[in-house]
Amino acid sequence: MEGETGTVLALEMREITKQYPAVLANDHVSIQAEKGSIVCIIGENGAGKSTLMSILSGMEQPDSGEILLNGERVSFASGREAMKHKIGMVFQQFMLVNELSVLENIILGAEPTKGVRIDLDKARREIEEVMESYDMKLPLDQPAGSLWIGLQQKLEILKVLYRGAEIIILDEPTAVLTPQETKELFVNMRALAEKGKTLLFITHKLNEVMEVADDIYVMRSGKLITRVSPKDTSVEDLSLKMVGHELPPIMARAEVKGEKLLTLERVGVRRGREGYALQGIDMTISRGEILGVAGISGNGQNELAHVVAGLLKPSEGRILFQGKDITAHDRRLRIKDGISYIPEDRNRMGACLSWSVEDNSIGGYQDMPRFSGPLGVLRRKAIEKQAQEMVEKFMIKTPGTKVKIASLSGGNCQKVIVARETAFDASLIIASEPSRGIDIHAINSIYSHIMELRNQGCGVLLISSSLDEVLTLSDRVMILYEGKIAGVVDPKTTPREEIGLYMSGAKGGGQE
Amino acid sequence: MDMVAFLENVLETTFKTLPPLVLAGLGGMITVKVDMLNLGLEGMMMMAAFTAAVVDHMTGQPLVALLAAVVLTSVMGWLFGLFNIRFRVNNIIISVAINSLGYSLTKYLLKAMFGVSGSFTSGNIVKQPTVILPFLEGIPLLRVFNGQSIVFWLSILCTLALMYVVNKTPAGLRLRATGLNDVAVNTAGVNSDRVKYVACTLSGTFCGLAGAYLSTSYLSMFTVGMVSGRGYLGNIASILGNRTAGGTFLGSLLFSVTTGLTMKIQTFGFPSQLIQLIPYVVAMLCLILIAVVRRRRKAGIRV
Amino acid sequence: MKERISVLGEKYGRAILRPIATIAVALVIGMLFILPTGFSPLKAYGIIFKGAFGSSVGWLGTLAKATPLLFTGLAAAFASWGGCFNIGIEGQLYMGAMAAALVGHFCGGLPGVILIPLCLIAAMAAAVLWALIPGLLNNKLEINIFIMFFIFNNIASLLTDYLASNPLRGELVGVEATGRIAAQARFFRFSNYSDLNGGLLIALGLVLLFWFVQYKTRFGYECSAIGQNATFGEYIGIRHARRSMLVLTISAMVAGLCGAEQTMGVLGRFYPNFSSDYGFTGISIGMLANDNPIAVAIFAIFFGGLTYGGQQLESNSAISSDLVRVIQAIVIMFISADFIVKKTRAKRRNKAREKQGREGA
Repeated sequence: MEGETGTVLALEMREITKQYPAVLANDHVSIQAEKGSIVCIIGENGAGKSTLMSILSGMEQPDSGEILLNGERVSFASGREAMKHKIGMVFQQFMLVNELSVLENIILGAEPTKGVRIDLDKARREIEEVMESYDMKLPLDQPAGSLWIGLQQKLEILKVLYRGAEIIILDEPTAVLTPQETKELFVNMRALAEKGKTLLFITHKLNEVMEVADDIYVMRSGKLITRVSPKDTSVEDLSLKMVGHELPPIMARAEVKGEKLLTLERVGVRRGREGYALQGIDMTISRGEILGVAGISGNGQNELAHVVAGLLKPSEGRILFQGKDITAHDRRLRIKDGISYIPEDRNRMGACLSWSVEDNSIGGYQDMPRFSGPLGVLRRKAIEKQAQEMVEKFMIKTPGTKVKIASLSGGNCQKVIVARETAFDASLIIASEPSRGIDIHAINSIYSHIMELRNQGCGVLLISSSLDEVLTLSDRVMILYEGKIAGVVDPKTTPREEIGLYMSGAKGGGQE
Repeated sequence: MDMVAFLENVLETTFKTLPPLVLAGLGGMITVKVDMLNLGLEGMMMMAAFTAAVVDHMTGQPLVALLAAVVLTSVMGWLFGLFNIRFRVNNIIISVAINSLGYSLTKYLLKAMFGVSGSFTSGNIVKQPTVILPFLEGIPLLRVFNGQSIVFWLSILCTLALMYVVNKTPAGLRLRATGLNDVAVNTAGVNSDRVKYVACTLSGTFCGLAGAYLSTSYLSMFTVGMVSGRGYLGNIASILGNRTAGGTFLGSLLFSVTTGLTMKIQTFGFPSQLIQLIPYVVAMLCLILIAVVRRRRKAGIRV
Repeated sequence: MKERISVLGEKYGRAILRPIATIAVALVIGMLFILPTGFSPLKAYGIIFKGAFGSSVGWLGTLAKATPLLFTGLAAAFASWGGCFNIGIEGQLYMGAMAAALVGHFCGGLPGVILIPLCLIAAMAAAVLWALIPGLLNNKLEINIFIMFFIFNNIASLLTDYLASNPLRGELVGVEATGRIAAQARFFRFSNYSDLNGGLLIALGLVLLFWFVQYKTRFGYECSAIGQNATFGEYIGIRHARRSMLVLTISAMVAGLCGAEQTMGVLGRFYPNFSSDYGFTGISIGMLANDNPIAVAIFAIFFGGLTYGGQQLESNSAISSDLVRVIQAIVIMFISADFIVKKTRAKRRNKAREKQGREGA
């Protein structure tokens, strides 16, 4: 393209500033990327990296600052315009139309035509060429939704390549992958860079950064903190820069020996006539134990959480809790039994966003005599007091208990849920993705609280797609693969790679 | 021979009642495709029938009347999109408002403009032109196609065009994708809102043709409430037809055959309210049947 | 403190200003339809409001027109509070009215103390049946409930029409209606000059009851959970499917009472298609009121006044009372519209910036 020798800056973002109503998401952020390089942008949740990439991909517009491509100033009013400038984004949550075929997903919005109709043959030829040159293989005629997660991600990358993208943004691409799939992705990424593509890689996993980056930018609360080269830094150094200061350590693990609390016997959940979402689950949790469940999302974790919480009826097997058979108990009874649940989707399930903090603070416990008197009349004073206690104990930042919970930040909203689920002396706590999408300080305090409850004799079923989280907190780790238990391992002695093998089905019971 | 005459008779009534059902069905189908169920077809058709009758009465030009009705309801369709997409009004609420407006406004304007209540007849209303196919005249059964209203052929043309566009063209791919996952469509660089606006506007366009047919072709008068549930039947036809243009056509055909047959029964002195009930009962039974079948089939794949 | 005020300001500002603004917009649009008649719109509205609220006779008429709307408004508001959107009220009230008329007519030998409750129960039962069939079909077979409600509305109106004009036709000559209900089944009237009857007291009692249930009790709390977010409702231990059927049942009972009030308080027998869109007007009232029963009462009286005033207008000018229904339709259209122009503004800003960018380059 440009006949210059030396370095060509494929991309430069200068002094980008973006103010949202409540937060300054980007504060004069500048980054540069050379052609054919992999640039990592790291930062905690809420550091502003996603905003920056939304701006680059045309989804958001900056309040000030400019973007230069190959030295030329550009601006995009929409994603489509960014695409025209050969910028492509691979989203964290895949943007696929599950019911359409792989081929249709790839050409959607960039369909080759013959007359007025889509030229399917041409599309197929072109896609096959792209697949060949980057050594990726995908079944073009299958519905996109039927693909395995790793392949769906390749499909997303292919979509971007098909549109001729030169700059490719990957937003937390490894969050859903096994360690092995991650390795494969990195190989693909390197191949793309060698062919002259420029890659922007957004993540908060530091060891990955050290492995793949040519250049690293660290962001924190909207600001660019530093730019370093991987050879001049270390994971510890990056971590400190990312968080800003040392975090208080998570509460230490105490030695607790408790009796059996929860037992699942051959529990299964059917899906369709022959399929199983969950099959043959035998497991126990004792008092004072955190059982971590690892696995790639969609391997039965949700079903497991819901079966234990009482939101899903198992089609076979028995559930024993404190020696009692509670298989037939519905959600209301399970709450009374003492099973509380911090759900994965806090906006849809964990809280009612249009309600006040106060109303949310008793959700699930509304029929306790403390809160509802004769004739089911609510005791407002007691509810208010309850909410205030929770706000104080968890240092929840809110203007009051009467405001809508939707006006709270993600971390504070999650704290309300954790506070509620632990306020009423539950003996078993299901914690599903307890740290998803919240800032590091909130994560730290929630981890400490979970550990504290464990030390007091609670059983905890921790479900997370973050292997780090599972390894940090758990006493035992159970790996789910295709709805079955692939293995149960000791987190202190098992290497990550081995857990990765269980997760991908290469090892353990899932193979049959 | 008698049989042929009987069949021709049934076909005749079927064809007469078919166009508004097909067009309403297509109008419903295209909004369902983008996941915006439009239950306001009924009200739009009332507005169209009224407009067509009035314009025809004033100009004596049926095609101008047809065009006026189509323009009005296309704008209404666009407004349906505007209120749903931009102003975030629930589509059922807009539908209720449109139906209520269609009924009360035509009734009000009828009184205000012509001083009559209930119905409006005028010698000035000229029916829509018909398509003469003289070569069919000698062929039994097929000769029913001769002399059908232009709107009848338009409804068939619209069905075929929609079948092609939805399945074969980029616009169709985007339409299908928008209804399934509009966020994905947006990230693919297609403005899904624009796709939805187009679908809503087209939905109005089809209703315009359907309504105008009722007052300037099926009859040459306007009666308050003359749409009498055809809009809802259109919605049902599109669901019976599994949200495809061809299926919608077949669903509409079912209703018009039912109507054709029951009209015959009516001549034997059956109470008219019961006759009018039949399509709804058929619709309900069909919906139940389809749901049961779908459930059985689904059980094969999922619970 | 300041934040608290702004929160309160937001809460009440939205709840009060919004409906008033909507009604104002609808009245302005309504003017457009009055203008062509050559009649002064302001004068027309003057006649409506004076006719409705300007005298004690006006108030009697207004409250009589408001009574059915109180029932349907409450039915719609409670259903929506509990997360089901009952657009089958119209059909349910027809079934209720018919049931009350039949019991009142054929069980005429019973004393009033038994007959009146019997009529009310029959009305509620018929309405509940008419709501639960679509409800259960939706629940068990996932058939689109709105289409089902529309079908059932149409069937109800045709079926009752058929019954009243054929097998169950009463003694009136040349009028298609059922037989007269027994005198002891009639509600008392407040005045000889108005249809206003004891049904109003039932309606007002229900207003207070629903207000209490919705805002003060656990049952209301739980219904609201389902209504606001069904997933959350399930999560806090409420069975969504079961609860929404219960909510629908309660809503339909109130719709049935609306039909009973019309039969027992106003008409004395069943006349086909007597309802002038009470069901759909009730839905718009429920939305205007944001599901709050007290606000339902206010808006029902307002719409009752519009209807009664509209009739006064009709007899004093060439303008038909359908104008009022046009205004109501516009209100439905606008009431839940979210006219936040943020997106538009942002778009415009971007366009401007883009232009600058191009000029700068």
